[in-house]
Amino acid sequence: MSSIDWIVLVVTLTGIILYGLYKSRTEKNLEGYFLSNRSMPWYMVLLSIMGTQASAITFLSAPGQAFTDGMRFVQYYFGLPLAMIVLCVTFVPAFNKLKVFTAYEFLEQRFDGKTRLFTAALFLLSRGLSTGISIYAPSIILSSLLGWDIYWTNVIMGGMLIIYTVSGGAKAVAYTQQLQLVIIFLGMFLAGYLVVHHLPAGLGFVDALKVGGAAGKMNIITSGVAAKGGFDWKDKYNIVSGLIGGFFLALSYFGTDQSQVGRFLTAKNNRESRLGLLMNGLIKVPMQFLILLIGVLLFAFYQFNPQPIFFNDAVSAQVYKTPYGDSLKAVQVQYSGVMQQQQQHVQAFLQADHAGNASLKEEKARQLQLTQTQATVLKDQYKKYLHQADASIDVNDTNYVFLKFVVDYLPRGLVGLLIAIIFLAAWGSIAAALNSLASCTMIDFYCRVSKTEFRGCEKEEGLQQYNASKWITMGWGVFCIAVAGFANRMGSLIEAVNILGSLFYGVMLGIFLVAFYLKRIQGTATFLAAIIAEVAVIILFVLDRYNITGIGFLWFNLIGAVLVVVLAVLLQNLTAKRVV
Amino acid sequence: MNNEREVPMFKKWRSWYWLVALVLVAEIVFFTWLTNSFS
Repeated sequence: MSSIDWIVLVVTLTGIILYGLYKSRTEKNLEGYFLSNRSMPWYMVLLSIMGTQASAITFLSAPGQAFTDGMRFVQYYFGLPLAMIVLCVTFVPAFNKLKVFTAYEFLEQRFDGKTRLFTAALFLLSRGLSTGISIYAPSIILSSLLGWDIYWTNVIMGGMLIIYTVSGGAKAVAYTQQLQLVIIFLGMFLAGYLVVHHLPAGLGFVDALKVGGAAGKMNIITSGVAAKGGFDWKDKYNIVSGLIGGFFLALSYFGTDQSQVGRFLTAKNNRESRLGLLMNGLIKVPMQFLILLIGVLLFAFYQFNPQPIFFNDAVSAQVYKTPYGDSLKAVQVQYSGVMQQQQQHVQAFLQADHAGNASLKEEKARQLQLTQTQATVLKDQYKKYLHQADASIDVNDTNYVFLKFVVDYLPRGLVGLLIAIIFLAAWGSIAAALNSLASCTMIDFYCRVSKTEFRGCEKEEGLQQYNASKWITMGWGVFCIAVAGFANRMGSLIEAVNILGSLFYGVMLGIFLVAFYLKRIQGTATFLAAIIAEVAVIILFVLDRYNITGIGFLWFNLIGAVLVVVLAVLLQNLTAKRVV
Repeated sequence: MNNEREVPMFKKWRSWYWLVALVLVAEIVFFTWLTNSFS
């Protein structure tokens, strides 16, 4: 990075920290620290929800995902707007009516203490570990691409935000997220514009989409029906799994994960919470669509510029030094030949399109797809050699596609801004996670176990609780950085986060569904059902790891939730009969 | 704010829920058109 990039990076990050500190003034009690005194308008709730959900990996991974697999990933978000409606109808009024601090506090009022503590413990375990991975995931990409030390990158990625998160709590988190999102959207828009700007003269945005479409990247809506007929259950992203799977995932994430519940509890009233959530339902799909579109534009860009066979240079350089180096070179030479052919097809395709020659255009699109398949085979061969050289290497280079373009092609200054964006996106979601981990620890464990009253307590007592909460936030920050230090042994990181979530989210959602929709079910039946369901999900996970069953981890959400509901009904009937 | 009864509340917000659902439908229609136009 040039010195201008360093200046932009340091100024942006320092500016955010100072802004966070400036906005830190809050009432020194738990309501002020964890819920901003329930004073936020809907647009702050909206930005906070969006800033919490969009992590660094969202902005790194999505363009790469569209570059390799096309736009169909956007379907994964189709269930989200529907989940927002259910949240507004059921969850929001229930939480606000009881003026709870955490989602789990509601469970004690509805069921009992043990169900509350069990669910809160599941949250702390999953969120604590996954926040550690959210620190490590962008850090390893930056350190690999820019040659930074991973230890220090982890510390800066996970440590600097602690300054304002500890001092200002939920209020500082929300205000910094607002500014962070503005900078992030500005930077992403500029990056997208510059991809189109770097296309050869005479070619524009629509041409880029046409090239992407010809190569199958504009597969925004897919039915999930396999080529042989029948629904393909292994296909991750299609309209059916997007609407159903996406709905359950969004409902459990926004309704039962304190890092999100804590955001909409900061709203002034039900109206502001609802508006924030519904606006998120309106904005999320187009936003994700636009981020993915950058990937299609990048694909078009690389049809006119040399396209790397593997986007993580550091890994390639490392393996080039081993006996596998010659094999890599051989594949690379073949790949360059195929890419040259592909570029000729693309040019011929666009000429045919401009001349209005439909049959030639179709023919060239077919040839383009053929070379595309050949290129994919060679890429897989290359990755196979990388894996053979060192089995610990992550051969998935999706997350490097966008950032490599940034580093290689963007002008000085903008590189620094886009690196800063990665930090800001990470900080937004990590800060909310730390705040929620601390609120859950303080409210659901410390105050609950020690039977400390935290509502309307004396000023001095409130101050003590406020100070203790600051220490707890700091403690979680240190814990998450420590987890990040061990994360390099977890294999594919995004998958690790998703698996962690899927192991616990389903059961947590099941507990809340029973709480809201099955009024006659009581605490003990729900608690036992949740424990059995959690054990069952973990057993299924272990069986899947050893290839005894073939259930993908994404289904664990649904299985966990359904198991809790069914078992709770059965157990309630069983105990009711005994009582009779 | 917490004295609102839920059934009237649902009715009051019903147009918002419809709006979110209809925008989703419109997005899916638009994306289907884009998919067909560019493939």
